[in-house]
Amino acid sequence: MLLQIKNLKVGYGNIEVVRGVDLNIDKGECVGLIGESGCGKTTVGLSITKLIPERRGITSGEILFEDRDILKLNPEELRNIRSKKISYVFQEPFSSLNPVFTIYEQIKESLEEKDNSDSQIAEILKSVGLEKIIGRKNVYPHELSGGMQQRAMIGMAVASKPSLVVLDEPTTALDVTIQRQILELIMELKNKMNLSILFISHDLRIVFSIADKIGIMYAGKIVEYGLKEKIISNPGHPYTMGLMDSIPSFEHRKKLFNAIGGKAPLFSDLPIGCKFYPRCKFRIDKCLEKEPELENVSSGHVSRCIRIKDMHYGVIKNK
Amino acid sequence: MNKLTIFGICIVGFFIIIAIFAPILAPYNPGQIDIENILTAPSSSHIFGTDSLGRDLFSRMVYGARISLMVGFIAVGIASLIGIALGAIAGYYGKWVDGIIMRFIDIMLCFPTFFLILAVIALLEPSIINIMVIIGATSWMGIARLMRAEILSLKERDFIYAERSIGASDLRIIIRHLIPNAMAPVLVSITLGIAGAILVESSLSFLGIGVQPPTPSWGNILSEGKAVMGAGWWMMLFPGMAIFITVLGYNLLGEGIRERLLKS
Amino acid sequence: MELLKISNLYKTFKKHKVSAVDGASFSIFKGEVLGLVGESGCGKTTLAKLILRLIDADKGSIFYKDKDLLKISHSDMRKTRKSLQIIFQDPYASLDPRMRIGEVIEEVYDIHKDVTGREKKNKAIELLETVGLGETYLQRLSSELSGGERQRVGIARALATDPEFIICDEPVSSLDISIQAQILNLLIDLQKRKNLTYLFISHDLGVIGSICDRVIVMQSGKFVESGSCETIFRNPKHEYTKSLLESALLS
Repeated sequence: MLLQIKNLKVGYGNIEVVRGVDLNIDKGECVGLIGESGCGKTTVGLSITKLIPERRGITSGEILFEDRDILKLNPEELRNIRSKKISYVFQEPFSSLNPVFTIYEQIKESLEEKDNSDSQIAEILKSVGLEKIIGRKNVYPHELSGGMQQRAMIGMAVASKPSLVVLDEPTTALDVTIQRQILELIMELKNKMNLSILFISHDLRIVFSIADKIGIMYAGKIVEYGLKEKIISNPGHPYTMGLMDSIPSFEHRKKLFNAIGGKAPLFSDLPIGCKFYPRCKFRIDKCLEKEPELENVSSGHVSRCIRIKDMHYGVIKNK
Repeated sequence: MNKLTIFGICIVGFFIIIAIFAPILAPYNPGQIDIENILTAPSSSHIFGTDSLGRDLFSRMVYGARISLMVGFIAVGIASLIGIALGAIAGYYGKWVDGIIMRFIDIMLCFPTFFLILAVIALLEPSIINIMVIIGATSWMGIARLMRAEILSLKERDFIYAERSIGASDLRIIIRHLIPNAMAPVLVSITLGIAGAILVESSLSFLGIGVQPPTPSWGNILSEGKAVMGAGWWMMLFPGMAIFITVLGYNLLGEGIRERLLKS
Repeated sequence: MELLKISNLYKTFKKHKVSAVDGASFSIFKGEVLGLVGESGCGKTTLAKLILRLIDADKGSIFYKDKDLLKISHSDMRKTRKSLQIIFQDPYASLDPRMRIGEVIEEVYDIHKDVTGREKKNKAIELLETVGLGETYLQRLSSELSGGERQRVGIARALATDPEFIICDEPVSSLDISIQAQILNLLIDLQKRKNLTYLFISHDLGVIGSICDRVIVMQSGKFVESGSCETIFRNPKHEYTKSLLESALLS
């Protein structure tokens, strides 16, 4: 196992925003983390190399990367991991690139060995589809379109030949046609370099198209986790079902969505018992007793819902 | 809120209270001449001492606070009215209206303000009203520029388009929606402007062309003190300190407002 | 029945020297949902603002009930605005951050002076209930509301003048998916109940496909294809439409 996150908790003052997350990523595997804004998914991604802002603190848990706990590393070792082993790509390529340095200079920064850097950079640019700027050493980020900037970001991320890349909404700011190209690029690099990927997004359609395994987060915890195919064919949590029913499409024409009512709870005011209870269509009184644990739906597919059995085989009894 | 801001608020509040309650706080009539007690050092009967005409310095300082603060507030009030109005009009209407107003501001900024004030005061009589008006009329440009810049970005926001789409008039949009939302940086500038206006008034009075004796202001007390510097140190110390502390107070408050409003 | 007829509408932004809208001609029929789809910078938002005269067109005509909106006087236009409303994309930018929700809606009546006093408040409550919010929201500040709630307030404000036509400019694209479905439900429901006409702008083909009757595809200021939703989705003719559909991950 390349990365194992065990019972990760991240607090912000007295408020926990990640309330115990377990997540494993294998070599060469793409794990998708789906959740709506404010569910804690970005914090999970940033926690992996302790990139969270100072005001937030990891209160407990382990993050085992190649069998070493990242949370126990000294700053020197941590820097080493950040620069060589784990890289990030964020949503806004333009604000992630430094506007006063050229693309060449910024990719060079990320290279492991600086000898012979020009040919290395050329190779990276080629691999991310930026053949156009090979040899053009004075190109600055603002001269590129959003899609090309994101390609450059991905180039920087893979320049150090990392084993894990965390992609946090990497295509959200881009147009659909560009989005598609970037996703294809990510898949291509993943296969070529045997990369492991944590792909964080709010967009189910994108995650479904790219991930091998999927975790769905709600109110700071993973509520369902499993192989993509299993989740798509047999969602094991009412929240996942609600999200899937909310995907707009041509097939769904002019019909009302079977939408999830209400809104996500605030971390400062979480409901008792199951955190999804107030919005759930299948709730029963027993859901209020305690927050459910992750239980097997089938092998390699778990869900945090006590009504799994009732939902299985597509039969859902209302209260 | 940080400690310096609280300190600033305390200073500003302290002097405002003194100005309001001057008649109660002053032990003597500030104009009362006492030939027997000329230039006496601070003592229990005259805690700040007396001046060269035997007037109680503490009482004069307390009344001087009224004048200094009044000039500060009203002068900046005038500057704000002009600055906010012209800045908002320039920012909202743009095009040639903006061009004319901005060029006018450029012209105003070309004059060395203090000498402009000197020249105007030399022509008019140096009354308190004239001083307030002239300070106000020469210090609005910064406010106008800030206002214009804020409005330029605000007017492209969707809520302004929403106002127009429900049929709101330009005047309503400017007064109810644009100006209130643009006030944060302007408020900082206004607070710092009060400090500036108090300084200008003190300087003018010090040079003898500001507030005219016998009306006490910190500047003209300081000016009188200059003449008797060797014999009466208290005549320069107290008004000098008052000006320094007040200006510091407004500057701290201004910084505090900047931090608080502009962060959010 | 033709509700709006737009002919040869042009708009160039001098500063950027780009044609944002390059000769748009189309009609919107009473009671339909017309979709306008395109990628960022294709001019779809500019077109929306042109139709409501929130920005000035270079040339062209926009006929609404025999009146050319580009030719009528400002005061005439202000009255006409009651029938033509808009819902914006970013619910965080479309409400004055300093105003209470009650004020946001009551302001509409203040401007048109057609409802006064107590009646105003009752109307505001009624509208808030229509969009799924209650009386308790009257006193809340927009900054205290979530994105979905703000968007509902934006819809309530648009409904306040009892319009017949509403431009929905990416009304759900900055919302979470579960909230997006709620708002789409609300918009579909309102459209049916009040027989509204929508110009529905989106970059998301899924959203367009789920709500629209007809679709116009726009690219760099020009219309590249238009037709019934059925034709565009099942049988696209233009290369650009095809590539949009392929990229949209609709499966």
